[in-house]
Amino acid sequence: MKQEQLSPFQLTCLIGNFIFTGVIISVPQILMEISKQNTWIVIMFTYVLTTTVIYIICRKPAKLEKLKSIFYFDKRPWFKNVFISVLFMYLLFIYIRDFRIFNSFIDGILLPDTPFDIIALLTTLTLIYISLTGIEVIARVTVIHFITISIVVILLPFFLLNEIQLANLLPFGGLHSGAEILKSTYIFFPWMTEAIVIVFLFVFLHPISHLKKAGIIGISCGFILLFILIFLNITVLGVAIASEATYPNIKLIQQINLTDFLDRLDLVIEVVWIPTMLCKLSLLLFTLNRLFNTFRRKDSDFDIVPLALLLSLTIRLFKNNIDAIEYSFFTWPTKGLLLELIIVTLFLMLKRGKSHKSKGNGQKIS
Amino acid sequence: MQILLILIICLLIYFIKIRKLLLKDKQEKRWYLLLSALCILLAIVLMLELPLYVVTSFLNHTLGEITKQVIKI
Repeated sequence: MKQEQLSPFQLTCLIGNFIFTGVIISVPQILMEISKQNTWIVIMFTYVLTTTVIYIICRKPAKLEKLKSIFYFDKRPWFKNVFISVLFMYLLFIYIRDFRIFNSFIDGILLPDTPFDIIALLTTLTLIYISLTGIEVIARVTVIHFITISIVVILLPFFLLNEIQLANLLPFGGLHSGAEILKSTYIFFPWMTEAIVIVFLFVFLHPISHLKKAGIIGISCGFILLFILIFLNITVLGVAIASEATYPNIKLIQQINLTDFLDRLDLVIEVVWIPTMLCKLSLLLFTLNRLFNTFRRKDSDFDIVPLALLLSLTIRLFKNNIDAIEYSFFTWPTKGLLLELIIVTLFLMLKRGKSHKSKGNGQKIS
Repeated sequence: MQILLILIICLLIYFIKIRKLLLKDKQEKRWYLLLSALCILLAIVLMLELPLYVVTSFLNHTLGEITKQVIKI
C-alpha cells in the first residue's frame, strides 16, 4: 500500500462528513414520523451509543499500531479475509444506497429533464476523477467542503430566526415517547454507526495515538450539525409537514426568507451540500478499490474505472424511488446493524488476537 | 442502448490511455478486461429490461419487514 497519511484533523472531517451528509437527505422524515417532536432526543441518545462503539474500537492505540498491516497485500489468514470481505460488502451496500439516493435527489429536484442514467454516469466520472487522486486529496477536498457546510448549517438558525416556533417542540415527552424514541434509535443508529469506516481509515492516520480523539470529535461534529437540522425541522416546519416531506431539509431551507430579494437561498445551500456528498461517495469508491486490490494482491488504480462504471449501473437495482426509499428506511437499519455488529466483533477479535500474538512473541524473545 | 454505448466508449478511451501500462502486466490486463466485460454484461442485462430489482425487492420483503415489525411493537 502506498504511504499516504492523514492528519487527525483530516480524519475528523472525513468521519464527520461521512455520517452527516448522507443522513440529511431523507432520514429525518422517518425519524419524525416515528418519534414526532421528541426526535431531537433520539439524536442525543444515538450519540451516546455511537460514541461508545467508536471508543471501544479506538482505545489502546498501541494495539492498533500493530494492526496497521491488516490491508497489506501479503498472504493473510482466513480470519482476516473474512473481516475484509464483510467490510467490503458493508461499504459496497452503503455506496449502492447513497449513490442511488443522491442521483434520485438530483433527478427529482435539480435536473428533472436529464435522463437518470446520464446523471449517474456523470456522477461516476466525477467520482473516478476524485478517487484516482488518493486519500490525501479526498481528505483535503472533504475538509474544505465539510467546513463550508458546517458554517452554513450553523448559520441556518439565524437565517430562519423569523420562522422558528418553539411551541412546535411541545408536548415534551408523552405516554408512548420512550418507545417511540427507542424505535427511532433502531432506525437511526445503523446510519450513524457508519463511522466504523474508521476501521479502514486508521491505517492512514499519523500519529495513531490521536485516533480516538479524532473519531469522537468527528462524530460529535456530525451529530451537532444533525441536531441543529432536526431541531429546525421540528420548530420551523412542524412535525406534520416534516414527517410527510420526502426531502424535509429542502423544505426547511426553502423557508429562508430574509428580505424581499433573498428568498431563493435553497439553491445556494444545495450547491454547498452536493460536493460533500461527492466527497463521501469518492471516499467509498477509494475504499472499495483498495479493498478490492487487497483481495487480488495488486497495488494499482487501473481497475477503478471499470469498477466505478459497474457500480454506476447499480442504480437499476431499485425499481423506482419508492423502492429506494423503502430500502434506506426499513431494509438498511436491520442489514446495517447486522453487518456493523459483525465488523466490530471481528475487528475487536483481530485486535485482541494481534496483541496476544505479540505478547507471546515478546516472551519468546526474552 | 444509449448507456451501453457510453460505457463502451468510456472503457475504450481509458483502455487506450493505459494500454502501454496494461501490456506490461498481464494479470492487470486480465482484471481490467474481466471487470469491463462484467460492466458491459450488466448494461446488456439492463438494456433487455431484465428485472434486476428483484434482489432489492427481496431484501425489502425480508429485512425490511423485520424493521417494520420492530417499529410496530
